[in-house]
Formats: sequence, C-alpha cells, structure tokens
Amino acid sequence: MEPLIVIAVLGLVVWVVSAPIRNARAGGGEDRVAVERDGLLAAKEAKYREIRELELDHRTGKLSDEDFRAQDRARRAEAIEILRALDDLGADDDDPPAPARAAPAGDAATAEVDADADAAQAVDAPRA
Amino acid sequence: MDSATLGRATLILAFGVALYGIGAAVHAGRSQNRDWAASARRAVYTLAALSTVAFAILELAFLRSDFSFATVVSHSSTTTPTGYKAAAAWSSQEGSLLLWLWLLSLWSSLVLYLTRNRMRDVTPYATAVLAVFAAFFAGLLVFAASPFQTLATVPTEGAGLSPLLRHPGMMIHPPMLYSGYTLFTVPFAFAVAALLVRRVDAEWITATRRFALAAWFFLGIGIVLGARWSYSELGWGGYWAWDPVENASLLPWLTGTAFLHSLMIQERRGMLKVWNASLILATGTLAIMGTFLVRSGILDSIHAFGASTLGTPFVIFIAVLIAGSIGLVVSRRDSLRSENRLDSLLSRESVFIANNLVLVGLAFVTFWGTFFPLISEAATGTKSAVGPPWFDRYTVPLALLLVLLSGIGPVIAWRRATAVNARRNFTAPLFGSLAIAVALVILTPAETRPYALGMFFCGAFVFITVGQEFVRGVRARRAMAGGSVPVAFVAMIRRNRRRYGGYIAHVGFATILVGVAASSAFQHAKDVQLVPGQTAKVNGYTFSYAKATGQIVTNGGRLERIEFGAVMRVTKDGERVATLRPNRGYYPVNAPAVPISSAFDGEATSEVGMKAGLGRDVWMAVQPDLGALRPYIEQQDTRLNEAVKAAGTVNPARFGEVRGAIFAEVIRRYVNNTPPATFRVIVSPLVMWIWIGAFITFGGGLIAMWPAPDGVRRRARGRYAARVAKELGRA
Amino acid sequence: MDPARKRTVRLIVALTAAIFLAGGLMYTSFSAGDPSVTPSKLAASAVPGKSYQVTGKVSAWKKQGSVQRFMLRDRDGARAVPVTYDGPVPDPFRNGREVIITVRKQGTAFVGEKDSLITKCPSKYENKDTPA
Repeated sequence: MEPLIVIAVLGLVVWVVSAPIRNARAGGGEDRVAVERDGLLAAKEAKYREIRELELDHRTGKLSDEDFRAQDRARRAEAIEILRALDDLGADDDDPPAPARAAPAGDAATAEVDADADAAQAVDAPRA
Repeated sequence: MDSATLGRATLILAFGVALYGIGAAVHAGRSQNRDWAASARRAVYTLAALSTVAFAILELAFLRSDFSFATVVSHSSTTTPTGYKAAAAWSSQEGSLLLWLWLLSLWSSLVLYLTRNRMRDVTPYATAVLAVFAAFFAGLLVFAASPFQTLATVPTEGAGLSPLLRHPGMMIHPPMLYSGYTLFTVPFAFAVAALLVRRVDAEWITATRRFALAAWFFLGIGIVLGARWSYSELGWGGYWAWDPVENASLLPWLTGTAFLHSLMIQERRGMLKVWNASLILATGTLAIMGTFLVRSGILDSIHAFGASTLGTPFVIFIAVLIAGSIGLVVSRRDSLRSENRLDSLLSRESVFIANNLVLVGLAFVTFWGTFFPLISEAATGTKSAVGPPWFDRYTVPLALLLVLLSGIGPVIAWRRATAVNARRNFTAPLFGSLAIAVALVILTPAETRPYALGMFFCGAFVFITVGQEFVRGVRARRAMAGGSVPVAFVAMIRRNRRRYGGYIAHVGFATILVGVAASSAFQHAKDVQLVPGQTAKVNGYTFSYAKATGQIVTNGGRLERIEFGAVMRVTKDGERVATLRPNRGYYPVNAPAVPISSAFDGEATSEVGMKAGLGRDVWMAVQPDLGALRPYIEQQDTRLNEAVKAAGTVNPARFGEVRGAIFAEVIRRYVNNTPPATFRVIVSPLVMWIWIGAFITFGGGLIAMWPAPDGVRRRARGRYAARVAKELGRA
Repeated sequence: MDPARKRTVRLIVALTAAIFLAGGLMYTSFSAGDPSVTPSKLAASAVPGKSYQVTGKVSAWKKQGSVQRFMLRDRDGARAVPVTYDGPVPDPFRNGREVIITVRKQGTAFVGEKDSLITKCPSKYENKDTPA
C-alpha cells in the first residue's frame, strides 16, 4: 500500500516539475530587453518615490522653497530621462493593462507605486 | 496506513526535489532558459507541498498522541492540553527543524511566485540559493534528525510537555523566531543572486524589501515574547540575561534593522551597495548561526540542546555561507561602486549611515561577547565568559545614541538639509526634552542614574520630534485636501505607509528602551524569609504575609499539581495597593512505583503574584520551604510502599484516593503550621512600557509592511513632463 | 583640500576611531571575562577569591532557609564540587538539571554570586528519562 502511494506522489512530483520543460517554449530572445526594462521600471518607481518624499519634506518644513524647487526640478528631469529610456526600449508602458492581474493586489515588490505593477504586467502581457 | 513511513518518504522526496531545484535553477541561470527556471520554481512549490504534508503528519501524530513516534513520546502525553500538544511538535529538535524547512519552503514559494515575471536573470540563482537552504535542512531531517523515528514497543504514555512551557507565549514564540530567520533567507538569496549576475541596482532590494521587513517584524515579536515569558513565568523576575542563544536571535535583528534603513539609500541614490549586500549576507548567515548555536553545544547556553550531533554539518554550512559571502562581495566590488556621493553631512542619508554604524556596533559587541568563550580559548587557551555588566557597559551608550538618532532622522531632509531649517526643526524638541529631563531631576531621583536620565532625555526627544512630524504632516494634508484632523491623519498614513510606519516604530522603540532603562536602573529587589503575620518593606511598599494557602489542582479528573502559596497584602503609606497570591506548583507522577516525595524534588512552576501598572509593577514569587514536612511525607511513603507490597496487586483508583488523602494532609499541615517561605519581591517602574512599546514598534512595522491600496490604473499619454506629473498625482 | 583627499582623510579618521573602540572592547573583554570551566576543572585549579563561571549538573540539592546547597557535577558525572547559593532558584532548577553559575572559592566550598544562577531553558531538556 505505502509503496504505491509513494510512487504515485513521486510520479506527480516529476510530472508537475517537468511540465515547463516538456512544453518548452521557443527562444528567450526578448529576455535581454525584459531585464533592462525591469531595471528601468524599478528606477522609475524609486525616482517617483523620491519626488513624492521631496514634496512631503517640503510641506513638513524640512526644505526651504528654494531648495525644494531646485531639487524637484532636478528629480523630475531624471524621471523624464528614465521614461525616455523606457520608450526607446520599445517598452510601451502606455499599452492597455494586462487582461488579468494574477498576482494579489499589492504584491511584494510592486505595491508602493501601483502604476508600475501594471507596467510590469503590461510588459508581460504578450506572453501571458 | 503507517504515517511515519509516509512522513519519511515525503522528506526524502523533499530532499530530492530540493537537489533537483538547485540543479535546474543553476542551469536556468547559466543558459538564461525560462523553461528551466519555471521548472526550478515548480520544484520549490512542490517542496512546499511536500514539507506541508510532512509537517501535517507530525502534527497529527502529536494531536492523536500516537506513541509509536519517538518524538511524541518524549515531548507529549495524553494529559497534555490539546493546544499544547500541537505546540509540542516544535519543542523537539527534529520537530523544530521540520518547522524551519516548512516555513522556509512557504516563504520561498511566495517570493518566487511574486517575482515570477521579474528579474529574469536574477531569480534563477535566487531559486538555487533558496533550494540550497531547503536541501540542507531536508538533508538534516533525512539523515541526522528524523522526526519520524518509530519505537518498536509502543508505550501507553509519554513524558509530557514541560509544565513551564505551558504558556500561550511559548506556543507561538518558536514559530515567530523561525519565521523571522527563514524570512531573512529571502533577501539573502536575492542578494547572492544579484551579486552573481552583477545586477546590483536596487531591484533585488525592491523585490525583497517586504520580506526583510516581515523578518524583522516576526523575529522582533519572537524576542519580545521570550522576554515576556521569562518575566512572568520563570520566577526570577528578569526579561533579558545576555544568554548566547538570546543574543543569537538579537544579532540578525540588529543587522536586519540596519539593512532596512540603509536599503532606502540604495533605492534612492544608488549608494552603499557594498554595505547593503554585506549587511544582508551577514544577516542571513547570523540567522543560520542562531539555529546552529541552539544545536551545537559549542557555547554553554541555557537554551542549547544538550548533546546534539548536528554541530558539524552546521559548521560546514556556515563556513560556506561566510566564505561565499565574502568572496562574492570582493569579486563584485567593481560593479558595486556607488552611483552618487553623499551631498552633505547634514542629511537624512548621513543620519542613516550613523544609525547603521551604531546598529552594527551593537551587533559587534553582542557577537564578541557571545562568542568570547571561543575567542578567549583560541587566544589564551582558557575559556572565559563575559557577564551582563560587560554587555551593559557597551550596549547602553550605543542604545542611547541609537534612540537619539531615531529622533533626528525623521526631521532632517534627504540629500541636503539647510542649517536654518534644521535649527527650526530641532529647537522645540531639544528644549522640550531638556525641560522634561529637568523636571525628572526635580521630581524623581533620576539624576542618580545618569544613563537612565540620558535615555529619558533621548526618548522624550524622539516623542517630540515624531509628534511634530505628525502634526505638520496632518496640517499639510489638510491644507491640500481638507477634511477633519482624524481623516487627514489616516489619509496621510495611508499615502505614506513606509514613512509614517517607520516613525511609529521609532516611537515604539524609544518607549521600549525608556521602559528598559527605568526598570533596570530603578528596580528594587529583595529576597526575604517570612512566616504568616510578618511583613517586609521594599521601596516604600509594605508586604504583609497574611496567610499560607495550599490546594490540589485537578485537570480532567486527574491530579495535576499541588500548589503552595501565600496571600500577601501590599500597602503603601497605609493605603491598600493589591492583594497578591503567588504560589508554586509541584507535579507528582501518577504511578504506584513512584514515591510521593518525588513530587517535591521534581519540576515545580512558580505562579508569580503581580500587580502590573503603567507606573510600576509589584512582582513577587514564593518558594515554600517544605523541609519540615519531609519526615511526614517520607513516613507515608514507607507505609504506602509496605501496604502495596503486602497487597500484591494495586487497585489504581483506590491508590489514587489514598495518595490524594496524603497530599491533602500535607497541605493541611503546611497551612496550619506554616514554615518560613522565601519571597522574592521586586518593585520595578515602567516595565509595562516595554510591552506597550513592543506593540507600538511592531504596529508601525505592520503599517510599513501593509500593501498599498490598489490605485487608479489609468494610462497617461502625453509629453514626458506631463506624464511624470500625472503618474505622480495618482495613487 | 580637494574633495577626494577630504574623503580619504575622513575615512582614515573614522577607521582609526573604529579600531580604537574595537580594541578597547576586546581589551576589556579579556580583563572582565570570568574563566568558564567545568566542575572538574574548578576542583583542580580554582584560586580562592577569583570568580569562575561554571556549568554543570545539579545533584544532592538541599535547602536551608533561603540558602541552597548542592553539588555541581560534570556532564559525564566524573567530578563534583560543593556549591552554596543564597537566594531563590529559578523554576527549572532541580537535581539532574544543567545550570550555569558564577562562583568564588571560599575554603573548600564554592559560593555563588547573587543572581548569577541560571538554569537550562525548559525547551531544551534532553530526553534521557523517556520511557521506551
């Protein structure tokens, strides 16, 4: 009895684990681009957070108007650079959002700036 | 169906799957093949399923009191209450290793699921590292410490769970610690992977930040629960003893706290890459070290398993972790160059760096003191140990500095704070906390303990700076969006969870340390011997021993313990403060062959009498002297023994009755003619604030960790500047 | 001074400070540490007046008022030393249990320092008395 169960479980494990290899998809060509895109999206997220915090710092009296204006301008310029680089990659993050969000709302990485969660999804959409 | 065999098979399968996961993931990483990466990920999911089954089998065995399992026999019994039967599963060495594997596989699966479509170059290697951890623990469970060992002859009763561990805090303390340890392996694995592929931007940090925060959260709760249990259950009245194993849980918590702060600088500025990578590699290694210390017996600790054989594999594993970590950081140092420089010493970045240095300093002191027996043996040939006074000498000033910095950080701007603004932000907190310190000197004896006074000053500074931040934040929010103060307050926190969650954690941490400073500097403790009618005075409180008590406590119709206690009236300046009823319970063994007197030599548990308050705790424990009753008990033992011999057979019910009658007589004699009892009396201020502070700290952590609400999913088209503005405007 | 030089100087100052602090820490640990010994080693080489941290198993425990008298035995049970300790013992304390205590030699006996006695955490008992 027990050996049968163990063998059944073993079979199930092998079947589940090997599924992606058995149904291998072709290529990984777009991976390079995807990797770069991921990096830029993370950078964009961080930059947006920085700008938001700058605003908050200013409003809670930690920065003078002058300092704030100068820094805000610089950060926004950097954000624009990132967006431009994203577009150059052909990563149109203005694509319509992915059909369904498989990940639970606000997952580990993407929750802080939700726009990027969608962007990441959108990037994957062609594959999904 | 033999569930133990099934359990063993499951673990072997889990081990095999973990090994496959390593191979598949490494192959996927090298060939950048997504299908192999998916297969490796599935291996980790499968591992989670298998270890869930194994853990469930073990839990079921405990709940059903299946005494064919060796570990059930040694850690549970039919009389153990159900909740504690479940907890007994992880009180054994094997069970706790299985819990480790189970939690590790769950967190690994979660992070791999969440990152399944991201960082395609990094995740395969992270999968491999997580699988290495899993393979190590699964290997231990298969080859060295199987929880599914069975006994040839199945006993009818087990040894039971130590009565001291029957405390709700102790049920969840180990899972909390292990959750913390295992969660730290997630950022560890991603750091290793990021270094391997030289992708050392902030992405691996963004992807695993919440796991690091969750690890910090659970480990912290575990530590506090342990302290709380020690304070209220062990009858010595302390909450921290600088024991090696306690320190081992504190070490990754300290470095993890440092990491949670410094990662923000890397996310934001691309700086401190070497530092962050080193911190998280150290944290992951220290988490494994904590588990190792408990099992190796290399240090004399009250928390170490006695004769464990798992030391060697752990030493090898830790050596690999350390050597690998150092090798990785050194070989990747060219990729780890900072993208930016510190703009100014007057900036939040530099406060964070200072905070990191203090935290790492604290970790270094703790590490050195903990491993000093080994260090001194290597250096001088004699094993030496340092005690709490040595730890206090270094940790107290560092803790002061840490609290001060946690007040400065929130009110100083990123990048470059202007002196004018800094002055404006610091004036009120500085004068406010100075005023509080002066008031304390006038109203209390605080000036007699400069360090404690320093901590009160620093604590007040944190409360005021953070309070000021909240007030300004609410004001800014209302100016922008209107609404009432509470609405603006909630909205402000919701929109900036990380920031305000962090601030709340700072307040909580300052509260904890104020409680620690007050309760350790101004504690009054006294050991006194009293008979009923006598009184003792401690710090203005009068303790009168009103009468002795005794009772037999039954559980499910069976005699569980015999309690001797005292009724103590506590008064101050003639006013009644409390009536405390400390007692001590003795646990007899229910078997004819065991003499009654053995109940009083065996395990005893103190029930502490405590009046806890926001201002101070009055705490007392009693140790009755049963010496005078010995002759009677031994005489009864002899008589009982002779009677049993003469009768030949024993009727258990009748025997139980006789025994009960003897215990009742012992109690009667104790109460009517009470011998002197030893009392430990402690009057300790602000202890309660340690527990309240812990609630605040981890509440803040929870806020920072909580996922942000789903925002608007509109897509903005248009020129870049407008797009930045638009995308910033939502959420 | 140019910025790079300034940074180097700053780094050197910080490192020197760190080294001094760490050095102080290490030095004090060697002078503040109590030798950590087994009962047999204590019996063989204890110097009167010096304090030792000893780890051993309790046996022959007797209470006289608030004073505890017991023997501390090596893990393998080879040698034992007599110890007296004034004050209440933690709950898990009993014969056969491992404890850690700081003691000084006085005459032939060893006297425990106040509040220095700690006992093995109850979650880590060995299972020698398991009915099998």
